[in-house]
Amino acid sequence: MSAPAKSHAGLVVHRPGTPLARRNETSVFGFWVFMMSDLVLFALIFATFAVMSRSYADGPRPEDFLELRGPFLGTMALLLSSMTYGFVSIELKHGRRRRHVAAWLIVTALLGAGFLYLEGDEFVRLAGEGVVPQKSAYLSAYFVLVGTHGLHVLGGVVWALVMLLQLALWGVDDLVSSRLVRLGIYWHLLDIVWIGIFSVVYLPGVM
Amino acid sequence: MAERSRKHDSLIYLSGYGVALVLTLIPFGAVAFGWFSFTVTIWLIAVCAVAQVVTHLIAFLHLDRSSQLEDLLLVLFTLLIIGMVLGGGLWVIFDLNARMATGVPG
Repeated sequence: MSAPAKSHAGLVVHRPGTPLARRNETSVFGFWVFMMSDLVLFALIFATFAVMSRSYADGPRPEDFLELRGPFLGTMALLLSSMTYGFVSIELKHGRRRRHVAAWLIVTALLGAGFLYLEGDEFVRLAGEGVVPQKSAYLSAYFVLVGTHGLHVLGGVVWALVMLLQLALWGVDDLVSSRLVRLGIYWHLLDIVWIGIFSVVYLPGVM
Repeated sequence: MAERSRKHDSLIYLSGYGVALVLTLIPFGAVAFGWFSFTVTIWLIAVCAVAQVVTHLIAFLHLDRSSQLEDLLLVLFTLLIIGMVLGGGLWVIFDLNARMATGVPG
């Protein structure tokens, strides 16, 4: 039997063929199933947004209230955080030194927190201008789409903090690294969803 | 199987980041500085977005033909469902809007 070069998508951090790698394979595949169902959820919210994209009900229009600066900086932060999480995976695979894994994880979590700060700032500004979800179907869809992604990022940051705690308590052991592999899939997929939001909501919105 | 070196793995992430960065900056520049006409810009945004998603899947999630078949099948099946739900849903709704002939929907 020719062994597959890779047993699951994502950076394989366990030596292939060992019982541990097989168990990790199963849990990573299960996590992919979950993430794909999450992606379907986002697709439905995107569809709702597209249907409501011109239902302004005489309320504010996107070109009146959307600003590109905050979302653009947020995009940069998320994209950079996807790369820094890549270095978490690389440290897991090659170094397995607790301090190095934790350092990249902290950088990633900080970038995620920066993204959340920018988004929170935008929501507060919009609320101050009277741009709130109940104004129109467009705004309801806008806040649901952007907010659902934001809550996911918040979940990812909390998850990263929990993993930092586990790293401090137990170091880079098998369970901790298996969980970090799954957090990586979660984090990278959230960045992919954000590409969609930036390209569907913000870029056409300000044109 | 020879394990890929640390340098090789790092290069994949770094080049993925570089490509994704360019694919973000092109549509951003086009919108922020109005380089092209409306139609061209919309198409540019769409093409860059799809290319960036593919870049992320390959460079960050390492989803390629060397990963186990069911992972790739799972993702492709999900894309099929999303395509049907999103494409079909929008088709029905916009067709309905056009038939209602109210001009602006909502």
